[in-house]
Amino acid sequence: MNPAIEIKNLTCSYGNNSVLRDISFLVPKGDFYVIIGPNGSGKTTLLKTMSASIRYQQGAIEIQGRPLENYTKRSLARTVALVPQHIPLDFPFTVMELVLMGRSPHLGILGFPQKEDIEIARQALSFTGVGQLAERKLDQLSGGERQLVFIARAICQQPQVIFLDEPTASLDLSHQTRIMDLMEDLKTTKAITIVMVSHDLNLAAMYGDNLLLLKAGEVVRQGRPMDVLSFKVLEETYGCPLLVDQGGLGGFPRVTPVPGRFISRSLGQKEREVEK
Amino acid sequence: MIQAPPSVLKRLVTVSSVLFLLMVIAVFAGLSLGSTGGGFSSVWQSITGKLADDSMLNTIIWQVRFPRVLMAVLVGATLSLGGLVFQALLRNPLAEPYILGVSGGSAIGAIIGILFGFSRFPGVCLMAFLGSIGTLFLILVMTTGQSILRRDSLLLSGVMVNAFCAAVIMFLISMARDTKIHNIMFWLMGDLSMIEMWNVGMLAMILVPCFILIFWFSNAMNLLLLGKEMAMSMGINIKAVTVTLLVATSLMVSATVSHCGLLGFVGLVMPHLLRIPLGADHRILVPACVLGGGAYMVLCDLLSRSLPQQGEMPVGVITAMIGAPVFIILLKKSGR
Repeated sequence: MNPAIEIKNLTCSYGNNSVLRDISFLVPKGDFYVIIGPNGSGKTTLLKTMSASIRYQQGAIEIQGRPLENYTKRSLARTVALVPQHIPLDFPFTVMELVLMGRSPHLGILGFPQKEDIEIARQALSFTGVGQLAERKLDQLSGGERQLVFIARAICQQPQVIFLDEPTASLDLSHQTRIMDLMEDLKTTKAITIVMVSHDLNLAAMYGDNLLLLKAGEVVRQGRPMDVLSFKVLEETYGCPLLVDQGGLGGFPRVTPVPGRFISRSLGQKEREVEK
Repeated sequence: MIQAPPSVLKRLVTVSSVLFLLMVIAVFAGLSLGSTGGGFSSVWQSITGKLADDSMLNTIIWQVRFPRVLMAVLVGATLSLGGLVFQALLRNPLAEPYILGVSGGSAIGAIIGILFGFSRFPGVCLMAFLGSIGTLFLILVMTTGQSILRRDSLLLSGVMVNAFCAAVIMFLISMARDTKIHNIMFWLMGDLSMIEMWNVGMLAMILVPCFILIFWFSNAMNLLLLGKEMAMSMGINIKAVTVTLLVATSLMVSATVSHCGLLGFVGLVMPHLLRIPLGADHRILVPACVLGGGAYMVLCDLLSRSLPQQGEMPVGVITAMIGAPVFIILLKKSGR
C-alpha cells in the first residue's frame, strides 16, 4: 500500500538561510504522525511545505501516491485539510458559515452549498461535539471551542489527510485531551491520516503512532514514540536537563523538564535516567 | 439537533430585493426634491405620462436630476464596494479607498489630467487610474510582510500617503491658472452637480463589469478573511484573486473619482452598517453594498442639495461629516 505521505531528500530555504535540510520520511496511511522539535527546528516550515503554501528547492513530496506538483490547488484541497495555529477573527462569521467554507473545494466558484453539503457540515459539528454552537458568532467562542470549530471545518472538507499546527497550544487540559481524542477518533473511524506539529512531547507520546524529531532543519530521529523519546536523544536535541521515565498509564515515555535548582544538587546523569 | 441555516441563495435574493426597493425609494426621493420643487406626486405624474413632456418641471426631473441621481447611485455603490474589498483583502475592518489614500492618488492623477487639458474620458480617467495604482503600490510596499495584519501600521501608512497626496494636490492647484482653481476645488470636495447623461453611461460601462467580477470572487473573499494559508488550503489562488480584485477596485474607484472628486468614508459606513444585520458573508455583502451604497449616496446628495438655504454644498462634506465620527467609533471599538 502506498504511504499517505512520502518525503524524499527535502531541502527548503528562505534566501540563503536553509530551514530544512535533506529530510526524508514516510507517513503510513491512517497514521497519527507527530512532528516534534525545539523552536526554530523547522516543524512549521515542514508542514507548510507539505501543504504547498511555501515552495521547496530540492527533493520530492508525494501525497497519497501523487507528486505534490501534480495537484491543482483545488484537488489538493480535496485531499489535504489544514488547521492552522493562528486565525484572524475580525469579521463576524457564524460557526455554521465557517464550517461550510470547508466545502468550497467541492463546490463552484461562488460556493453555494447544496442540501448534502449542509448535512456534511452538521455531521462534522456533531462529530466534534459543538453542534449547539452552530448559530453563534466566532468571536463569541472560547479558545477551546474555536479550535473544535476549526477542526469541524477541516473534517467538512472531507480530506484524506489533516495537517494540524499545534492544535493544543494555549488550551486547558480538558480541551487538550478532547482534541487529541477527537483526532484519534478521526483516524480510527474515518481512516484519515493525521499529521500534527506539537510542542507537547507527552501528548505526542500518548497519541502518536510515529514521531519525527527535528532539530535545526534536520531529522534527529523518527519512529515509534518509545524509540524517539529516549533520554539521550532528547537532552541532546533540546539542550536542557530532562527526566524521561515511563508513565503509569500504558507505559508511555514521560518527559519532565528539570528545574535548575534540582541540577545544582548534583543529580548525576545516571540518576536522572530513572530505573525502568 | 442543528438547525438548517437559511440557504445562501435565498438570503441573497431576499436581501437584494429589499435593498433594491430601498434604492428605488431613494431614487424617487432624489427625483422629487429640489429647489424648483416637484414633490412625489409630480414625479409620479411624469412617470405615468400625465405631465406635459415639454414642461419645465419635466425637463428638470429627467435632464438635471435623473443623471445626477443615477450618478450618485453608481458612485455610492462603487465606494461602498471598494471599502468592502479593501477590508477583505487587507483583513482590516478600517480599510477604505479614501482612508488608504487610493482616492487621493486618483485625484492627483485626475488633476494632472485636467491641467493638461485632457478630456474627462479617457484621458482624465486613465490618469486617475494610474494615480490610484501608484498609491496602492506604495501602500502595499509599505505594509509588506506581517505588518499588513496590523491595523495601526496600515492606517498610519494611509495617513502618510493621504498627507502626501494632499500636498501634491495643493502644489498642483497653486500652479494652476485662477480660472481653473474654483472648478478643481469644487470637484475635489466631491461634486455631483455637473453630471450629464453620457457621463453616467460611460461610467456604468466601466463599473458594472467590475461589480460582476467582484461578485464572482465573493466566496474567495470569505476564505481570504481566514488568512492566506487557510485560503490556500481551501484551493484559492491567492495571487490571481488578490491582483484581480485590487485592479478592479482601483479601476472603479479612480473612474468615480475622476468624475466626482473625493467622497470620503462611504466605503467605511456602508459595509459596517450592512454587516450588523447581514453578517460577514461576502456573497450577500457585495450586492448589498452596491444597492445600499447607491441608496446612501442618493440620500447624502439630497441632503447636500436641500440643507443650504441657497445653492448647494459639495456632497463630500456630507459624507465626511457622517463618516468621520463612524470611523472614530469603529477605531475605538476595535482597539478593545
